[in-house]
Amino acid sequence: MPLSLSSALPIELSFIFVDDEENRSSAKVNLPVGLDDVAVTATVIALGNRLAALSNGKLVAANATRKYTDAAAVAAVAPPESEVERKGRFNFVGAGNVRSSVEIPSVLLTLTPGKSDDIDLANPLVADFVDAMINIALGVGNSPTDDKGNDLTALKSAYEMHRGRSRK
Amino acid sequence: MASRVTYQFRDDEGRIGEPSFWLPDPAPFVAYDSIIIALGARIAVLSNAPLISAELRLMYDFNTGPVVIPAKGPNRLLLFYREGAVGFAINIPAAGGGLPYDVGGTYAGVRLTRASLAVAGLLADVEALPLGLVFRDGSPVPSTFVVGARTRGTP
Repeated sequence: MPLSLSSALPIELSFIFVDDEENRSSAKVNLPVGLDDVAVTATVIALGNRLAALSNGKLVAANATRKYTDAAAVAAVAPPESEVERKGRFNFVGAGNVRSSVEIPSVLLTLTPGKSDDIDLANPLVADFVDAMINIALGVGNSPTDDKGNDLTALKSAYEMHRGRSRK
Repeated sequence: MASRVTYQFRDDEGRIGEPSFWLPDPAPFVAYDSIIIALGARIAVLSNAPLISAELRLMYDFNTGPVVIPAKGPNRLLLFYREGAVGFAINIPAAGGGLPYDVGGTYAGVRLTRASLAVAGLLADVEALPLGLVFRDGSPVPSTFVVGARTRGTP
């Protein structure tokens, strides 16, 4: 089964305050999962302003978190070869050549043939994933971005790594 | 506003691996849902570990102005709401409004009642806070059931 939006878990809001010594503290509340993006944004702004009015600290940010689950995967027993600290690292770039990396836990051993750590980009499963990440499979404007909001446009490299070990 | 998705993979020893990346914004939730589910499927087939869950985090910037007093992070106003056996609390950091703080460092802090919140001129604001909020089980937080509050601070 694929992931689906959880109907049992509410949207979590977290409002982050700082004080004069840059200590951080947060106020956390829940919203109904059925709210749309416009209603959530309106609530974040309205509630944030109400909370800020009650505090001498400075409200600097808020997060709204929606949750997705796969009940079948949660119930499944992970196989012995599922170690998540062995990862497949994919380095993408977008406009401005800013690197944005995705590390896939427990990447399939068959994707790094022979003694190489390089991931086989010709593998159709890899190609499908890369295609989606750089704006083809899911349509223009619907793909991931770098941390500046630039659309990812190319894959620079992909290789297997373990936690605490990486390469340039 | 920025948006980030994080996926959770669980291995046979219960450890969680979390690939994550930024998504374009703003977008309707239905668009985010389709992106997250489709990309999750493409990532899941590359892994030996089951993909058990994901989170979409929308991040908003605020700037409510400078800190106006030496507002220590541990100073807080805790507001309690309850319906039946289910409780709910909102933590307000560095709460103002002339509220009494216990400077003795005790854990319990200073208990406040609806009456004392009213005297401090905060009751209306406090009762308006939970409008539209829900408990973790999805049931609404009742604004009329403010059962109390307390401040907690450090010397």
